[in-house]
Amino acid sequence: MNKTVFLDRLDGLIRTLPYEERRATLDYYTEMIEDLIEEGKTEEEAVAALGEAEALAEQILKTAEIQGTETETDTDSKPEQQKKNKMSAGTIVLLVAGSPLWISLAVSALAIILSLYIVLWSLVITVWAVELALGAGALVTLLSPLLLISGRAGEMLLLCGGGLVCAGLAILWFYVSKWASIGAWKLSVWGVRMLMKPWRRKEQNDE
Amino acid sequence: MDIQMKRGLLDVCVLAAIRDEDSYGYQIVKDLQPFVDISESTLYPILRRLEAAELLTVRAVEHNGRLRKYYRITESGRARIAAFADEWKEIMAIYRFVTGEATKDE
Repeated sequence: MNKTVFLDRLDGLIRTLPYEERRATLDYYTEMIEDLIEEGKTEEEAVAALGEAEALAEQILKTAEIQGTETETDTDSKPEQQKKNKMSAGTIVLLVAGSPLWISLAVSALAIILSLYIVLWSLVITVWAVELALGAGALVTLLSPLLLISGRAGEMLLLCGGGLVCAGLAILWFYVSKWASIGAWKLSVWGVRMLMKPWRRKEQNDE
Repeated sequence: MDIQMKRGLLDVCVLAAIRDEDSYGYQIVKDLQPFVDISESTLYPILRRLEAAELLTVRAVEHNGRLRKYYRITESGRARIAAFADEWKEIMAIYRFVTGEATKDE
């Protein structure tokens, strides 16, 4: 590597230093290379004697930091922050530009999810409707002998029997309904958690 | 060698290199290399530190159509060398004591 290339590279790597320091550092190493050449070394050898530009720059920056020089370490975080902000700005542009597409996609996705929930709870409601029917049926058929008093024993026995069957089924079905409701509720909560996952993970990463 | 001790030693070494006459970067490196592990790049932070502490001053002198930085020791610099020497008189005494004691036990 020749002198100018090396020094330019070094200059680029210590950009974060204040002008004065950068100037002094470059002067020093320019002089050093010149002296080595005067000693009899070739330009290549002289540059090689200083080692890798990256390693040298790292050392320079580290010592500057230790000595509490204004290495503008604020600018060290600034470029990163700017990068972060720049990414957000770029992301924002993309979001706006693509909004017709992703907004409609998002709406459809939400609609699908919503309909799934509706279906789920409709099933639950149906189960309870059956329960209600059984319960009502049991009540009616058990009470009707008292109300109708049709007098025909066979009919009365049938109604009683039917009523009892209904009552039994209603009791059993009650547990089914309860189980269905709890299951549906747990499913709903799980569904919501899964949806929120990408947002929660991001929060954890930011921490 | 302990790194803090090394740093302190290098500082006085550089000062000693310019005690009797002004010198420049590369020359200092050549003078010190037989005694300590120093290179062109390790010298630079030392020079900066010494300058910041006002133990030496810098001036530019023309040499073969380019500018060369010459370093000159200050009074504080000389005082630092003297302090180092005193400190080491003490260390030498301790050294003799420590090693002397060791041979006593044998």
